Amino acid sequence: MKRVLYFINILIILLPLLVLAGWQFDIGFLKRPVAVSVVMNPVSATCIFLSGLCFYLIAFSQGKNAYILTARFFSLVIIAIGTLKLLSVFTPVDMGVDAILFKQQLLADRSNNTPNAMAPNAALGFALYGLSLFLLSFQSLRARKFANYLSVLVLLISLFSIIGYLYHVSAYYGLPSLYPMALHTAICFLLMSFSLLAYNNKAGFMIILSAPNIAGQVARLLIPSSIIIPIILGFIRLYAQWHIPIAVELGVSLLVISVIVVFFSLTWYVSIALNKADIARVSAVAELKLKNDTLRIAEERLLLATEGTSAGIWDWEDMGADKEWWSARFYELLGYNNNEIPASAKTFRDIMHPDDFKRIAKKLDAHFKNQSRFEIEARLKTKSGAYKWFLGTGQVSRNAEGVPVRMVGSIIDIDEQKRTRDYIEQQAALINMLPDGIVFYSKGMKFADINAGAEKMFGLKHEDVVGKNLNDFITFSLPSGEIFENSLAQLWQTGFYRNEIQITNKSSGKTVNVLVTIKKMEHAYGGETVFMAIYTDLTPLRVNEELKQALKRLETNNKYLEQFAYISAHDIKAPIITIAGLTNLMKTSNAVKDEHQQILGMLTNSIRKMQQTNHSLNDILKLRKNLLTKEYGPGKARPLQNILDDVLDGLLHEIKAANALVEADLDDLAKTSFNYVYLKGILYNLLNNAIKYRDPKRPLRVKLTALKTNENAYRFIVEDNGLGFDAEKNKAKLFGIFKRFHAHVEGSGVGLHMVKSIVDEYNGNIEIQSEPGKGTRFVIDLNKNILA
Amino acid sequence: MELQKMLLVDDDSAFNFLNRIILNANGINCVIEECLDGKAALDATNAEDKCPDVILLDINMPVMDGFEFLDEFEHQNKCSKHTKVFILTSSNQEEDRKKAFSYSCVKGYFDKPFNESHIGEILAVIKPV
Repeated sequence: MKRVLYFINILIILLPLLVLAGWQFDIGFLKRPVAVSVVMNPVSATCIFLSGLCFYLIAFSQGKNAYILTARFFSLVIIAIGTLKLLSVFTPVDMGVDAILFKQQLLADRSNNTPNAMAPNAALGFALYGLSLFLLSFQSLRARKFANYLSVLVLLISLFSIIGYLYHVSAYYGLPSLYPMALHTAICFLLMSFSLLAYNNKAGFMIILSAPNIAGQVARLLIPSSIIIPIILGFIRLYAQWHIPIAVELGVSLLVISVIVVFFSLTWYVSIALNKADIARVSAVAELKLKNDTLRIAEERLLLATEGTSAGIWDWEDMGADKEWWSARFYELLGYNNNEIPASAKTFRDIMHPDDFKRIAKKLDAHFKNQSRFEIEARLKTKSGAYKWFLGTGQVSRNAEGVPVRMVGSIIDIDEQKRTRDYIEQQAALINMLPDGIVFYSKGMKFADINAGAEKMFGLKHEDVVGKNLNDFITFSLPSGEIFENSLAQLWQTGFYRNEIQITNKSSGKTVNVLVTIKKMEHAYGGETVFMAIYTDLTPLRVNEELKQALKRLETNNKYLEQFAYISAHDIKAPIITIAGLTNLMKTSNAVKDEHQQILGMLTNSIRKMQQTNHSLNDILKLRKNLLTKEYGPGKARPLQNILDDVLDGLLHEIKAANALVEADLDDLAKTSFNYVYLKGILYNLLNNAIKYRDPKRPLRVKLTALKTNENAYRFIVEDNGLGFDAEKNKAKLFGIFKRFHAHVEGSGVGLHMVKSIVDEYNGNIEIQSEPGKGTRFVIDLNKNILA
Repeated sequence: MELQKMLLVDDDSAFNFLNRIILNANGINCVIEECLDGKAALDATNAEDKCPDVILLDINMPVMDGFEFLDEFEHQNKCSKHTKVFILTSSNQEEDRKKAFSYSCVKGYFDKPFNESHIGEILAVIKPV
C-alpha cells in the first residue's frame, strides 16, 4: 500500500509540473488533455504541486523536524491561495491570486468567453486540503482525525466535478463566476484526498475502514460500492436517455429499481457473510469458554493436588537456569517454612547426601536419555542437619527437538518405612545367623518360612518346602512315647508350647533331640495368624554337660590323689622316725652282737635313704600345695639381697665344707622385692645343686647374676664350674622327680623338679647349658608376677 | 621348779618308749607316764591327784587327736594352769603350728624325732635361769 501511495504522490507532483510546462511552452494537450475540460489554472497546478510536495514531506521524510516545518509552511501557502480565491468569489475583494502566473496566456485561453481562472470549488478544495495537510503534520490524534473529515469533503468536491464531466452537466458553465474545475484538477483532488485518507488510517473513521475485522471488510465493500454504483447507474440512466427516448418517469423508476436491487443484493450478501461470521464467532466463543473452563478446572485440580498431597512438589521450570519452584509441602518435609531457603537446583544439590549424589546423577542422566523413569530413594538434609530418606520421582518435558526443557517431580518421606525395612532386614539376617532352627508355619501347619539353621537341622531347602505341609518332611515324636499331636492341645489353648521332642528327618532318617518352643503370633504376615517355632538342638548341650561332669570327676580324683599322696608321705614319716630311733638305740645299747653289726649298719643305711625320700616327697607336696593355694601370695615380698642372704645362711655349712666361692651380681635389683618363698626356693635349690655336684678336682666357683631384661621381665643366671652333664642328651628327664645325674653324691633328685614347678607356675622359662667336666649354666626368665 | 612328773602322748608306743630312754639318758629321772591317745591322757590327768609338769603331745592320733585334747584340757582340767604342753609332731604344716600356740598351755612345738635340744628347751621353760 505504501508503494502505491508513493507512486500516486509522485504522480501528483509530476502532473502539475507537466501542466505548467504546457503553459510555458503552450502545449494544449498538457493544459487540457480532454476536449470537454477547461484548462488547469497554473496557480491550481502550483497548489497541486505544493500539496504533493507537502504530503511527501509528511508521509515519506521520516518526520524530520525541518521537513515537517517546511510542509506546514507550504500547507499554509495552499490555504492562503484557496482562501484568497474564495474571497474574490464571494466578496468584492479580488486580489487576482489565480492570475499571478502566465497572465497573458490566461487571458488568451478563454472558455465560454471567460478568461481562465481558478474554479471556486477548486479554491475551496485547496483551502480544505491545505488545512487537512496542516493538521496532518501534527502528532495529535484529534488534529489528524479532523484532517480526515476535511479530506472527505475534498473527495466529495472532486467527485462532484468528475460526475459533472461524466454526466455532461452544463449547469456549471452557465455561471460566469463559477469557473469550472479542470478534469485533471478534479482527478488530482480525488487522488490527493484518497492518498491522505489511506495514509492517515490510524485516526477517526479510517480506523474502522482499514480494520482487518469484519467491520472493516464491510466498510471497504459498501463505501466504495455506495459511491461507484450510483454513479454507474446514474450514468446508465443518462446514457439511455441520450440514445433511447424513454419517459423520464420510467427512467427514474428503472434507476430506483436498479438501486434497490443492487443494494438489496449487496446488503443481503453482507448479511449472509455477517451471519456466518457471527455463527462462527458464537461457536468459537463457546468453544473458548469450554476450553477456559476445562483449563481452570485442571488448574484448580493441580493446585488442590499440590497443596493437599503428602508429597512435596518441585518444578525445575527452566532447565537452562538454576531457579526452581518448590511447594509449601516440599519445604515442610525438609523442616523449613515456606520459601525459607531459595528453591534452586543448587540448593537441591546442597541438601543431597554426598553418598547419594552419584547415584542420583546417573539415574537422572538415564531419564534424560529416555532410558528409564526417574524414581530413586535417596537422603536429603533437613533443617536440623539430619538426613532423612525420601522417594523422589520426576518427569521431564521436552521441546520439539526432544531436548529436556522442564522437569517436574515430587518427594515422599519414606524415612520411617526405610528404617523399618532396614530393621526387618536386619532381623531376618539375624534370624538366619542363629544356630537354632526357626520355622514359621501358616494355618494348617504349612511351611511359611524357615531360616538357615532350620535348613541345616532338617536337611531341607527353603524353596523346596515353603507352602507344603511339614509332616511330609519331618516326623515328630516325644521321648516319653506319647503322641506328639496330642501334646499340642496346650498350644491351641494358650498359644504357647515348649517341650523336648525328637525329630526324625524323613530324607536322612536321622533323629535328633531338640527343645521346641512354639508361639502363636496373631496378625503376622499381613494379618495372618502364624506359629513361630524355635528348635534348639540339645546334642551340643548334652556333650557340654558330659564334659563338665567328666571334669568334675577328674578334679575330685585329682584332689583325692593329692590327699592320698600327702597322707601317705606324711603318715609314713612318724613310723620311720621311730624305726630310725629304735635302730639307733640298738646301736648305742650294744644290743647287737659284733658279728651282726654289719647287718645293723645296712639297716641304718636303708632307713636313712627311706627318710630322705620321705623328706623330699614332703617338701614337694608342701611346695605344690603352696603353689596351688597361693598361700604365699602378695605381701610376702622381700628385697632380693635379703632373700639371697637367707639362702647363703641356710647353706653356710655346705659352702664352708666345699670351700666354695659364691659371687653375686644383682645389678640394680638388690633392693627390688620378690616373692620370698618361691625365689628362695629357686636360688636355694640351684646353689645347693651347684655345691652338691661340684668337681672335686677344682675349687667350686658359683656366680649368680640377676638383671632386668625389660619393663616386665627378670632374668636370673646361676653358673658353676662343677661336674656338668650332657644336657642335650638328658633333656627329657631333666626335670623329672627323683632324677639324679650323679650317683656318687647324696641327692634327693627333687631340687630341679621344684625349681621347674615354680618357674612353670609363673609362666616363666628355664634353660640349661651344661657340659661334662666344664660346668653348668641355668638361665631363668620370669615375668613381673614374681615381684609378688 | 623341779621336774617331777611327765606325760608322753603318742599313738606309737615304740616312739613313747624311745623318748623315755632319751629322757633318761639325758638325766631326766622323774615320773614318766605314757598314753596312746588324747582321751587316755585326759583320763590320766583327771584320775590322779598330781598334775604332770610336762606333756609331750602328738597331734595325729586315733580316738582323740592332739587339738581335741587341748580343747578339753585347756578349759575343763584342773591341771591346765600348772601343766606345760609341748607339741611333738611329724606335721610340718604352718597352720598346725599357729593353731597350737593359740592354746595358753602350749609352750613349744617340736618336729619329730625327739632329741637333746628339745630337752634343753623344755628345761629352760620349767627351770628358768
